[in-house]
Amino acid sequence: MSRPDDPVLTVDGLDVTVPGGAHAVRGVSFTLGRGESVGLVGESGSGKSLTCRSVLGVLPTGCAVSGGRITLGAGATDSAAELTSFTRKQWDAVRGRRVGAVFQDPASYLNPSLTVGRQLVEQLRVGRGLGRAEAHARSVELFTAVGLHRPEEVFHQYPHELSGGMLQRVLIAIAVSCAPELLIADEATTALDVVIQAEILELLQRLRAEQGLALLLVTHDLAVVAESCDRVIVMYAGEIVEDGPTAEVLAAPAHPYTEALLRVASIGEWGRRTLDIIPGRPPRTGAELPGCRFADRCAHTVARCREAPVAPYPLDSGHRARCLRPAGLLGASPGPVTAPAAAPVPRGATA
Amino acid sequence: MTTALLEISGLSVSYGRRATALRGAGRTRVLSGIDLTVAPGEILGIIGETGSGKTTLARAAVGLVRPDEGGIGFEGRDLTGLRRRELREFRRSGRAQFMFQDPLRSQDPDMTVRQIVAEPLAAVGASTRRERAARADEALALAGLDSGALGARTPGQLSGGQRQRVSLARAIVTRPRLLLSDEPVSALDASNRNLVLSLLDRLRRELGLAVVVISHDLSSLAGIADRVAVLYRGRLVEHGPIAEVLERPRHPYTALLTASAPSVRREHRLLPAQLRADPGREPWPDARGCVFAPRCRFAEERCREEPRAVPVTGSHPADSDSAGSHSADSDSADSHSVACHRAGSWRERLG
Repeated sequence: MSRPDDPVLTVDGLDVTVPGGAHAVRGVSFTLGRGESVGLVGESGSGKSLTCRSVLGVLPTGCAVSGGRITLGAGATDSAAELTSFTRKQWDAVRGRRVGAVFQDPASYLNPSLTVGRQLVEQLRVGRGLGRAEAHARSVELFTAVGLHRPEEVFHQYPHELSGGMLQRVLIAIAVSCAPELLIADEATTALDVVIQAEILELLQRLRAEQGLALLLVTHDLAVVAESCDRVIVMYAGEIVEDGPTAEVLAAPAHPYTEALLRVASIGEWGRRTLDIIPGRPPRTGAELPGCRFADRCAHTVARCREAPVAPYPLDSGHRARCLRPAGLLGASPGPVTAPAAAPVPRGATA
Repeated sequence: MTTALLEISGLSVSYGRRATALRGAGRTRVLSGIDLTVAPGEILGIIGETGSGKTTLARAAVGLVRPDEGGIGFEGRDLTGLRRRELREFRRSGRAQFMFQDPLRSQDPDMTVRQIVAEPLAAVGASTRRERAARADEALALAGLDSGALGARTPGQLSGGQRQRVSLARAIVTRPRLLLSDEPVSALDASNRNLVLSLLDRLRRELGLAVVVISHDLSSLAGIADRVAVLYRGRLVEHGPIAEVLERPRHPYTALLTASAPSVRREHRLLPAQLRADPGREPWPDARGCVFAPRCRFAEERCREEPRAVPVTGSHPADSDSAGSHSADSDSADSHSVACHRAGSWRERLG
């Protein structure tokens, strides 16, 4: 559960610019409590990956944090670190040690010419200062902990000898080897078969429970979040449009974009039915719009939505939405928005 | 009984060096004894994990792979008996088309959208340049794309969803009877996935196109497929009307797949952990018997003998598919079959 008094990560008013100076992430603020699991959801271009890469200090070339603070650890304590001002050397003390990360394509994060065991040993020796024998023993323990069968054999294998699911387990073992406070999984299960995806998600939850690490799960798939996150943060066109406890947000989405995401998500029903889409497309990255950034695709837009920026409006128990409707500011009754008429399928939906 | 468009019977395929008198073990069996039919206007989903043989099955269906045994009938003609030249003519006729995975790699980055879409017509060789451009525009319109706005662009200037629809337009430009699509939507977000699936559904309705969707991901079939075939290590383990197979799976592997598929709703569903084999169990002597036994929680002595596919009794095909008007009326095609010794009894052991 969220414990605001003991935050692991505090992102406050984060702005990120892309080459050309456009603001791709705007005023993003959220906190992650110790041992909490939070899902960061949005379509491609929503700024979710730039947000998590800012936390890791690995923004693509030309992108930069232009405003806001990212704090690791509780604000006033010795271990608190203000990441946005970090030098390269300071980052080395954080990345892989206090913050671990796994990404979509595990093979590209491993050295193909070294055995996976050696790569984990290296991390343990550099990161935790273990001796050779200790590091070997600990590696085998970690490989066992992430559910790799015959860990002693896997230790001596090269990345090309392992399947995608096994490689992702190796990456997770490396990411948690230095007992980080925070683990970031950026689309870490997207490319895997469903059966393996479910196993990896379960593994992440188990590590969270056993090691008390906070988990930031970045994904485009609301269904993944539904099953493994305490809280969900929904991003659209660079902004957080809604956040709150997962069960509450899914049961009563307050922002029309969340509601639309929910309508297109997998519901585990297989009979013939009409499939919904979200009509239109998001604004150009960093487009300067006077009002709500979702207004062009929203079924409820009125003139006021486009006049001025919409601030996040607190609903209840940590649930916020950046929309005038549930906030009761449009005169309509507050509460979850109703589904707009089913979108016409499919001609001319975009293009 | 409707005539099947595609009729696969007893299909087996191996890869590797040709067996010699001295060494017969040079080849790996990737498909064994596959029976499948596809009727005009029907959508069949083939589900399987990496390495299950699903792509090989699709390639064999259009004559791109020579089978060891079995027949592939297309419009009543046996493709396995064709000579090399006849087979090439068949492929160039564009009666059966393949829609490739990963448009970014399968589309020439220097060609315009219109050229990419018109290219298969050049192989057919009949029409003039002007006719080809007109046919390309027609195919783009069927794929929900505005040829006026997009026809002169290159793939790099399109979004992922648009590129996938260009692949679709290219595949249908020859007015095929059968479309095989390999992972048509797994790289797309949920809204674009629904858009492309709706397009496939419309094409089968309006053109009577038969569609085979190959995927590792059940959500690639949601809402549109009539039937599903579940492949595991080259064997068809379960096959039948989609709602029946996925909502009341009879094979433990199908049950594991549906339990693992993430969903924003989770009601009355099994958990993947209830279906996985106990990790402490003795390793299965995997050379013989049921292909799933090494991973099956319910495997027992009789599973050392390979199970044959048998019709499921006590099913209710009538209530499973309310939109049955599009599907084949052939009785064999509509039946639910499963290859598992324990199909009727494993649920009792769920605990």
